[in-house]
Amino acid sequence: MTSPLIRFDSWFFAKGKPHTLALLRIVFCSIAFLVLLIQSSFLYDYYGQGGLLSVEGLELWQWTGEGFNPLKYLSFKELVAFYTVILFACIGGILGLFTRVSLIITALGFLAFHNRNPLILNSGDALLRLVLTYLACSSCGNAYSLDRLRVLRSKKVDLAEQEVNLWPQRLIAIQIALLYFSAAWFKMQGVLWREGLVIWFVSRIEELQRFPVPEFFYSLWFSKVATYGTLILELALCTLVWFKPYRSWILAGGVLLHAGISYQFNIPFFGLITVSCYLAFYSSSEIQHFMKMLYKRVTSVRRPRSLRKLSPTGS
Amino acid sequence: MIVRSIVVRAVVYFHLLAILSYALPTPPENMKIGVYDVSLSEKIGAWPAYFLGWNSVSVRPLFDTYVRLTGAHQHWNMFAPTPIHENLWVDATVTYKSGAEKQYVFPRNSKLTIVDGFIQERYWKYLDSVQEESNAIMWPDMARFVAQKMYKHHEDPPVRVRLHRHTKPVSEPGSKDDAEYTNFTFYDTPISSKNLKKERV
Repeated sequence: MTSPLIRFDSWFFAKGKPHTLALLRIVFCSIAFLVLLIQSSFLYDYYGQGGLLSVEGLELWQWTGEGFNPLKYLSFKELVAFYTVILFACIGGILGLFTRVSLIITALGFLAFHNRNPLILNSGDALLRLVLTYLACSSCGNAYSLDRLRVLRSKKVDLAEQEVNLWPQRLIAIQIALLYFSAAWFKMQGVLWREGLVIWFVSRIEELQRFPVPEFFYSLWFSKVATYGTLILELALCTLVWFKPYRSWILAGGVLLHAGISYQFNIPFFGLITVSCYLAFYSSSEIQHFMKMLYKRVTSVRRPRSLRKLSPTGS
Repeated sequence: MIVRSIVVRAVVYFHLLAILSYALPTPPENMKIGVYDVSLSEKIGAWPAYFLGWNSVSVRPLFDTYVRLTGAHQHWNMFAPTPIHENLWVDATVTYKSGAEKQYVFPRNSKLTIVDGFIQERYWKYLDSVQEESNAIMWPDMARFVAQKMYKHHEDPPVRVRLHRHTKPVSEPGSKDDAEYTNFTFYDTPISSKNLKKERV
């Protein structure tokens, strides 16, 4: 019988098809593109020398110092050019064009923006930065990409059929489980969490609200159900999610949790980024099966049913 | 090939240990390692706090440089351990050279459309942390930002900025929400128009 460490090592450094990593690449580069795009009108406020955080202010702030921070040396015009390069790198990542280079530029670009102004980041930003870094280390351009088509035409080799290292995918799955584990532990240190009162307080913070919710959301009993429910789900999302029979149910619970949070509270992209990481729990064959179903569904929607029934002569 | 495999494994396991150490919470304030004297049964019950204390004091510093350089630092304390339980918004009074005064209100999600609130959420994130007393070191920068925003005419530059915090506590569970906002000027500073001119885009 092999030791748990050896079994973990063979699972962690296993090889397999690249489809899950490829889908993660498309989803995360799309999110990265949107995250950057909605900042376009506020670049000076967020990252400019006359903005929310000057370079002198940044140097006083505890986080920085030795981190990768090229933006503090750039003029605003150069910063806009840097921003544009990262936007194009995101598009390269979505299309799978020069994928490795695009992903490295995107990951380093996000790291640079985050280090330039850490005061405007939420947890979703940190997770996005980490996942982009993991994807930059992976062979996520081997499937669903223009790079694959390029190699298929020139060398007659299908990269999607080659086995790649899966450790970046495993790392994303471990990262998300670690996030829930840590979040649950942090929460259990708080008296309000242990007493089931958190939703009571948070749902009354005016600046956090997004869409209106039914009156019972503000009741004490709902606060208890939602607070304890969140804790239970977060614990399940870092433990039971590793057992295949429960996996999809637990992840569906996670999707509902984040949908609820995103509906009620204005925390842009956090739910979407977290839920997108759930893809890492699925194997490439499962993702391929899902993509085939999606393709069938999309192509059948594109052709109206009445036309599909008609013969070529129209009879 | 074997050498490459060993190097990759070493780097990835090092990274895994780094994120494990960084993601774990710091121990609760009242249970920091070695600063309290309790009975043995309480000590056994408090082992997670001891573990967290050991992690944050002895293990985490080993990875400091690595996580800062690679951006692997992480802190998953959303709404925890104590969530915000106070409504808050911040504005500023800007005094110009001519003696005129104008208000600047940092973007407020509750006063914006859903789309604008979504796009401008980062201002709230900034205010939420910077307005705290523990971050008073950042207030001169905040005042300078407001002055820069409100600097419209060269002949009448801002000369003074006062930052105001508006807070309203959330009602206790089961009771009615009838509290009013209270205002507090938390920072008052003269502004040098020389710097503002230099920084204008």
